[in-house]
Amino acid sequence: MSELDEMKQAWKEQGRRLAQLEALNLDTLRAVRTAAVGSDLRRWRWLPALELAMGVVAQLWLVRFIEGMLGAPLLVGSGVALLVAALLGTIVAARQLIVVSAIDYAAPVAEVQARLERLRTLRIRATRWTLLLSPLLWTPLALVSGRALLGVDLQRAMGWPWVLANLALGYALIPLGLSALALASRRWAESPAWRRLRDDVAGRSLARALRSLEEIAAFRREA
Amino acid sequence: MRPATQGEFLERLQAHGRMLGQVACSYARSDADRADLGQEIVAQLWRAFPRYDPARPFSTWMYRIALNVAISFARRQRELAPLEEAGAVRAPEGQGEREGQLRMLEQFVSGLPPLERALVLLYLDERSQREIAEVLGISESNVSTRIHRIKGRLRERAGARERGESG
Repeated sequence: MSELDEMKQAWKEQGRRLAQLEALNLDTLRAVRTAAVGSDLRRWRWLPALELAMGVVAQLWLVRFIEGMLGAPLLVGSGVALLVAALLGTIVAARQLIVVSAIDYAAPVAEVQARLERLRTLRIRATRWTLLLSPLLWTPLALVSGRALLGVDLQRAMGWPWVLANLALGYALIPLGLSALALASRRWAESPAWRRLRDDVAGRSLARALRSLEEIAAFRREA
Repeated sequence: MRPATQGEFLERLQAHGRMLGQVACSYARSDADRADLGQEIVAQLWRAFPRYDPARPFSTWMYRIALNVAISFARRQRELAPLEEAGAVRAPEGQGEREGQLRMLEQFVSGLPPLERALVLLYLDERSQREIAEVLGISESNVSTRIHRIKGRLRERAGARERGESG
């Protein structure tokens, strides 16, 4: 009995046993109605929504900050760098929300899976670039927050060597951070969170997602 | 959107319990995962039920949602535990040749890529090629060709198994 067709009956019998094992009863529905059960799409929505909200607030605040600092070119430049980063973050978050809102699980499987995979690639790219570029934003962030929170112009107080040293530190932090991440993921090899972070930065997650997208596209093409 | 009643939903759910069990079994690795996946599928079905159009077949609608949730769940589990050996949970062990064949079929199905696995599940549930095409979003001719190829691969595997047993 090696033919797929001949196995249909056995498969059905097995299915009847499984149906009895499944808890498809009122308890399940009660859990569903009390929102005890999560869903992938909910998880996909809340993070970009939060990023979008934070990005908009940051941009509004930075515009006001820049307006008030027009006489100080270094602070204006720092503010503009942060504003550009916040704007890019907001655009990425908005794109993710648009993609996720277009997903309907009742649509054909290959179509939904392709959309989910595209969303995943978008998310991984955003995480990767955020992690790689955030050390470079450290100096503008220190200058802007020093002025806004403490009322201190750090460049005047500490001098140009401090600014340049911090910029250099930002560049140095990128390879240092990558090494630390590799070390941490070896140390905590069993931790899925570390592995995922390492794979995101190294581009392995992206490569996997792109492979999945290609698999889906191949499945949709005529065999 | 029409008002969804819990009774109507549960009635339809019970009628398709076998299908849900098989989808959960084919995409989850352990009993606990299968229970979680079963709940996620039911949750998604309940949320989507008010938008279900009764003029269209319930099984098609249900299969689409169940498979979409299951494939996403399996991908998430794989990312969380990539060091574990991949493989779906097995039904309770039984005796006899039929059970042995069933084990082989389960192993074969769990080794397929997620979309091909979905196609085989639908085929084993005796869905028409048209319905399989509708659920998956591919053409009927594509369904036909893929089923033909999968049958060939299963035949090869069974042949290798038989040769291994006799050798």
